[in-house]
Amino acid sequence: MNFSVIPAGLVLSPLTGALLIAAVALNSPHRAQALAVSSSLVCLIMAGAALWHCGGGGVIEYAYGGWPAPFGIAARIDGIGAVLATLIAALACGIFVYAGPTLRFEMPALEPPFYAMALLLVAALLGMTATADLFNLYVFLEISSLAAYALIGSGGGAASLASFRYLLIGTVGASFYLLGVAYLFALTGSLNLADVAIALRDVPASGALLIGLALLTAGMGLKMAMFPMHGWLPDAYTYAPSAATALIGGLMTKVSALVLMRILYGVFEPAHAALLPPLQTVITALGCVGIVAGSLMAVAQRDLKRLLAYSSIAHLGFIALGIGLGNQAGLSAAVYHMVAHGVAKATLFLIAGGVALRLGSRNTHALAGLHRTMPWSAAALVVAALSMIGIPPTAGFFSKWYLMIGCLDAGRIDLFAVVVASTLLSAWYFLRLLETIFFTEPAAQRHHEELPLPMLGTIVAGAVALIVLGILNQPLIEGVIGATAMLATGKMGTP
Amino acid sequence: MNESLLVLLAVAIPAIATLAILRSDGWPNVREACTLTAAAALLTTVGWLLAHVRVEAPVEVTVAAMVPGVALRLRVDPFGAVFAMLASVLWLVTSVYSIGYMRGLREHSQTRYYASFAAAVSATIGIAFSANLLTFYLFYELLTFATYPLVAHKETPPALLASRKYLVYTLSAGVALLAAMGVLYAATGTLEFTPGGIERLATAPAAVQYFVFTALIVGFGVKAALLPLHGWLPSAMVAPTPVSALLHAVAVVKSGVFGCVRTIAFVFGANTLRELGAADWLAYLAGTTILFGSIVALSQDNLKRRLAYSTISHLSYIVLGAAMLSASSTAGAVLHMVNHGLLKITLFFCAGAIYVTTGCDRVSQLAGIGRRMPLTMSAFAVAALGLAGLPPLNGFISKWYLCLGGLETDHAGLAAVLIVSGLLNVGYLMPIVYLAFFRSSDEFPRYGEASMPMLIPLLFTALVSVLIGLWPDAGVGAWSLAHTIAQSVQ
Amino acid sequence: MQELLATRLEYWMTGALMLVGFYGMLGKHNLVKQFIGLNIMQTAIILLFISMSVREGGTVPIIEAGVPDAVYMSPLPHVLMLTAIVVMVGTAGVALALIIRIHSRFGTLEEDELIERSL
Repeated sequence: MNFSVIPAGLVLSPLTGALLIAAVALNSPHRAQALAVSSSLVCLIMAGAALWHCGGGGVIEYAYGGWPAPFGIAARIDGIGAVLATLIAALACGIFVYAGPTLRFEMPALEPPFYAMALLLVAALLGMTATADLFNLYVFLEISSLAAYALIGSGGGAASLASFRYLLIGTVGASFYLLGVAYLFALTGSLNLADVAIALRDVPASGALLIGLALLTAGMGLKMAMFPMHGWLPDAYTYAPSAATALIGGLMTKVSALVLMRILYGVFEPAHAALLPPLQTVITALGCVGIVAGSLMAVAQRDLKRLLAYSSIAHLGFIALGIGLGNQAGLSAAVYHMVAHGVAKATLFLIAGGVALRLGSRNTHALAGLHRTMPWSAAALVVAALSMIGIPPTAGFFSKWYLMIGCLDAGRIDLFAVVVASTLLSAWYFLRLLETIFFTEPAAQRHHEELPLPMLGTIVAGAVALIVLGILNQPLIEGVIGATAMLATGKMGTP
Repeated sequence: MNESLLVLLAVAIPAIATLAILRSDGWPNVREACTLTAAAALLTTVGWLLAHVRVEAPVEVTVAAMVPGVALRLRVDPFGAVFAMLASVLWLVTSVYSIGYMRGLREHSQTRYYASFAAAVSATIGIAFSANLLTFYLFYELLTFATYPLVAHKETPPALLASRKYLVYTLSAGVALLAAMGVLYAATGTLEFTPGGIERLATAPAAVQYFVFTALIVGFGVKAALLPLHGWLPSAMVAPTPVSALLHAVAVVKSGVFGCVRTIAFVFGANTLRELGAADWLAYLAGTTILFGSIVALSQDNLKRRLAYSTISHLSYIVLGAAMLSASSTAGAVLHMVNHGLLKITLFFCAGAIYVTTGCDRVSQLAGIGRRMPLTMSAFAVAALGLAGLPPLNGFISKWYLCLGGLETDHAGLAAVLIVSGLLNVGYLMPIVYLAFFRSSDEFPRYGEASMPMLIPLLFTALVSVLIGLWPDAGVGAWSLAHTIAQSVQ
Repeated sequence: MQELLATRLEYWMTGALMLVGFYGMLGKHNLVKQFIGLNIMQTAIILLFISMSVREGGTVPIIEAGVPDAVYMSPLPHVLMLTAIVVMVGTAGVALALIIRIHSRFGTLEEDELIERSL
């Protein structure tokens, strides 16, 4: 197999799927689902191959149209990109298998467009993980956002309003990013990540450079819902259709975080390490505030999806904190938490979708007695909640562990204390959820009505994956550490 | 026989039993057969392992790498084997008892009860066999979550409140442990339990040592019910009696104590702690807890709460033994872990038997009950005397070594605390025996013991207590094992 | 200051345009007006990019026979902005579709009324 086509293939496969659905399957939900599942499976295989190839620190490059970088647009996937690409493809695959019944329930007659739109989202997200070009990244960012706006807007209730607000804020974020790119382009005359990193060495540190960096950070901060730029997230996650929430909530913010990481440590650090510390201080501080504030707001929620949305803000705080720390352990923790939180949160949103399908309510009180009516879903919920709290041997514990070590390596006892104590905050709302499930009498007696097999299979696979990721975390972390080491030393540049 | 397989099996048997019990929901006989079979299989496995490590080197199994330098690793050393043996013997006994108790009261949600019970035992065995702090932490947290449904079992508001209180205490403890592990790992790069202490820790800055020690003791001290952290234990008595008996007198609380001993002897080591001087405050704290528990127990009318405060006091005997840092006191601590387990479970079994047959749960209601339940109350009397430390019962032996250790290390005051606490033990337990046998009442005119599944376990544990008192080294050889352990960590 | 204003006038222009856009997004309560503000802001960024390509006396970057030493404008920003405009149009399409949906559902596009009706 020729590895070099993978970075392009990752985008083209779901894009083809989306176009095929629009062309031949708009009236046939089953055909649309089959196309979505098969094209995301192809992606998963390619992402797996990329992961296998890049795990030890390798890189796969592909030049579109045969034009070599920096003249042409280069697609490029490295270790971290491969990890994220695998996560995206795997989650997409699971969600497409899952989606049928809940789509028929939540948005009848819109099934095939959902699959097409979701594939577009997946294509753009995969594109963001596998590009070496700042502007190309912007285009993928906007494609993913447009697909997300459409997906969110297709939900009922106030979904269209939530989506419009997200559109305004999201476009501002993307515009900040584009403005930052303009600064970098003006200073270096290039858009290729590696090329910019090299050219920046000859650019003196100046106010313009700092403004560019700040704009890029703010843009990505908005897109990844870093506190206090999270305003769009709760409504968007709450009103979107369940399957779309799982896809968006599990993936989109993480890919933006990855971009932020690349820009800070792949482009700026090699040339202008002195510019970073003030920014890092801000990012770590915002991360900490996000962890605490997100958790506290989650405690106050009675709507299951809204609760999960606020918990996302807290967990994006973890990722921001890891990125802000910027050391080996911190960056590894950030990447690993993208995976751990992505899987856990997607699983939880899928369970929320299943609960809405069966019980017709998103209120947490409706979950009472869930272990009797939907035992497998309840068990998966317990596992995912434990991972969110950070109890070993689930994956969530290990990202927290590396984050702790990262804080200590950086000599930041205060951050260490926040990370450690955050366990209690997450435990607060998740354990209350579990108490409602297991020890509250349901309002009405219900029969055993577990979800249909495809939905249940995806949910259970998510829960199992959390345990497997936890127990086998070391090979993955080692690969990621290798990749972040390359990021931090700026070696990722050399074309 | 491949011993490393047995180690995995020991943790897996109760875990598999949990799943089997969940699957057999609706068939009570199958469910209870599962529990009993698993308990018997576990006892055999642990017994084999104990016999093996008495003569051979510790058995070690690495399951998976966790973080660099620390693996999910199980190691059976004599200390862990003794604890696992205690837990597995008492699980079998408690399973038999549970059948009588739960059926006698026609309790609801029995499947959840038995499943959580098996899960808790699995976590306890994992704790006993953990080779490093991270593995310990993993099972320690699992134990918290496995015990939670048992505390909340009744689903009444007080039960839910108690279970929340339990979670707040134990999860905060988990946070303290996590912080300690993080700092310890950053300072030494290892979390492995080493007899005599982790070498690199001895050279770490004193502030780091102090922090790690304090945080670990706070983390384990919650489950060990050390003084300011004991609040959850009396509230948790709202759980069914077999839970109080096995978990809140043996498995859960002893896991905390076990962790304290591991911290003192296997993370720091006597020498490091002597230089640091941190063990002294722990010893005095434990001494205070002993007196506090005993005195509060005097005023409790609810029988189970009285026993709970007695547990608080006796758990600190063990912590005190380890904190005095001498060979005799450490041996005494290991012995008291076993002896207190046997004695206290007997007392709880008696309390449960009384509750099921008569519905009484307060001390003041028990006048004359000795006439109706002579066997039960005899067992109660034996266990009460044992806890007070009267020869020739087993409690005497452990207390002897604890006092000896106190005198060896110039802690005469702490030795005196042990003696005073013995008197207080007589003060809060013997009135019950007196009431039962020497005060007549019309309440209990006829002879009527509890059912056989409840009576046999409590007589069995009382009998074992007497036998160990007479022949301390018979059976599994706890006495010589305790001394081997104490020597190995000096 | 005056020098900067004089040499980098286009930066100030685009900056002012962006502020106008922001005002539209934050200060206006009508969704369509907010959307127009968004468009103005995006246009400002596009103008900024285009302004970077300008060279003094530059010409269209097409090599013509007989004009050997011509100064060319950089073609790259133009190409990029063509793409950005496409993105902008896409965003506009989605935004307008959402606005139509909101209007058909709530019967208004005024923010304060929407908040009332969506509760």
